[in-house]
Amino acid sequence: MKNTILRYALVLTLISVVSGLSLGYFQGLTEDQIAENRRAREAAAVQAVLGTDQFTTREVAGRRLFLTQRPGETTVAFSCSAPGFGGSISVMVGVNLESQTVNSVLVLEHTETPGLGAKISETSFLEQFQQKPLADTFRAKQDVQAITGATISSRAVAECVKAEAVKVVALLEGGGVNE
Amino acid sequence: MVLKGLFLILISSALVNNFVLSRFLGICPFLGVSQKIETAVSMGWATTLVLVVSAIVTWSLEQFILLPFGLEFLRYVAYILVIASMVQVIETILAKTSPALHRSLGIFLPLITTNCAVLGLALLVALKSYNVVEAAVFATGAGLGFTLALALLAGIRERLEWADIPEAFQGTPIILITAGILSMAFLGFAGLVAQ
Amino acid sequence: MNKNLTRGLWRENPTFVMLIGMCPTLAVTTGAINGLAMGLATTAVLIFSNLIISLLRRVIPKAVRIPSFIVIIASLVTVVDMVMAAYLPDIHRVLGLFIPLIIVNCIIMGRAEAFAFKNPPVESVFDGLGMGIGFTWALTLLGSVRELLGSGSIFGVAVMGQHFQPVILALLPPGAFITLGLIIATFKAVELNQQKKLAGGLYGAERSVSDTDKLSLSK
Repeated sequence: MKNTILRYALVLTLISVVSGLSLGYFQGLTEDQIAENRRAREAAAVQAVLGTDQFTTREVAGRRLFLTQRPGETTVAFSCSAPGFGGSISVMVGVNLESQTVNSVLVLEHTETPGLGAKISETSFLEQFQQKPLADTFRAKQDVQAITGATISSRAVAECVKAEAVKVVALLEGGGVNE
Repeated sequence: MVLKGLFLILISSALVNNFVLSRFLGICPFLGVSQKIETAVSMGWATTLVLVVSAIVTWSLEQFILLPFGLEFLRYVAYILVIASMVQVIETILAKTSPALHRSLGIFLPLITTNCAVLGLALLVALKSYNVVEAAVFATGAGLGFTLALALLAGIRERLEWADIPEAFQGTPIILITAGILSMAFLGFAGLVAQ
Repeated sequence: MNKNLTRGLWRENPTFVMLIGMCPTLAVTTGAINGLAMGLATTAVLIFSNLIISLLRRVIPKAVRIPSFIVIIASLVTVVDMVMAAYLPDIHRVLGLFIPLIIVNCIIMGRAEAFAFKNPPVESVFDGLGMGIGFTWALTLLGSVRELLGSGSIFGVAVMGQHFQPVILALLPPGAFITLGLIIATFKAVELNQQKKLAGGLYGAERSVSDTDKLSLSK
């Protein structure tokens, strides 16, 4: 009786130890690549909204900001998220600090309804944000063209862009870009 | 404010993002144990119990062991083992303390280990970084939503017994289509709470 | 050996006949590619779990086989999850939560218990491969139908022409249930039809196809 229980325990322990060790091995094998994928995805999104791959990453007040400086022109990219219809929507926004306009917007992740809210990631919706002055209201259905049947999703994107852009601009202007 | 947040989580997990009808978690028991309302409801309660207990236990596991020691890569193995043992423990406790409850829920308990709603919930809790109270409320909502979906389908299936269904649709196809229509009804809750 | 491979394809097809592994089947099949990817990930886990469990079938005592299976399967799934996150990040993001849920896919535990624990390794690998392919083609078919109806494309290639009005419902949760229901009903109708033809040939009586059959076939 005692022997069988011992044997059960031994077999289970062995299997667990072997599986734990091999998982550790695979973790070591893949973690660099996984981190690299994440970085590459972020970099691609930043590049898409800034229009250049020359940018520096800065931490300002807990936010990750990506800055590009060309003579007489500073552009900043940042990500933000807002609750949409099906879940959280996260977007990458590029803002031109000199002209106080949105450079461009890219949807990173969303769980909106396919065919309706999911259209927020299409260029036909996103292109209206290009060169849009931050002074605009960004109100869906008035200032921003909302997607038919997906006002909530459209509003989430628009409001998130405006609110976060204003905050980031204030942060950078308060602290100064060239500190 | 806190209470409002918890209430939203409850409504969201029970109705808006119903585990069965919109997240597709726990489909096996949904299709398998829904012939009779009575058994469906018992299954629902048993699952709710396991969901709540395992949500709390896996949450503690995540916060006190996996995260502090950097063992995230063992998450799946650890979760499923804890869930399987939890189900065993609950069954033993029920058998000792409440034989009547054990008689009605007992046979469902072993099935619940492989109910993907349980593991899915534990993983969602980790993903959403809920605190322990939120996790418990989320699990309660999920369990109630599961019970509701099961009871609704069982109610319809009891009626379907008497319906004249085309031969090719008898059995599984009509159940799936019924589930589809139920799921359509639950789409009406979408957008009620943005979570 | 042949029999082990073909069993899962049709006669004991996990999705259409045995109705197991329904959660990923319904959840990820909004497109053909997703269905295919989920199917292949499950197949990989299934082959290795069958192999390992079959190799260890004399080592693992019967009384503790279930916890042993769970640990083995969960570890394999973790490996698949890591490998996909590293080398197929886009598909990994789409399948999301449903990759870890392969652990509780009844197909894997079911084949371990019903086949691999009782049979030698080579047969078990073929059984896993066959069941995996059966699962994969079922998911790919369901994904293709839903994608065709909901987005007018298959594997991302538009095929319906520009005047096609997509049936968004097919992509929503109800569409998953209803499409799968209709596919199974179609298969059943074909089977019933064949049975009737067979019976008709044997007894030489009545016409083999009744009006109801034609109706359900045309659906």
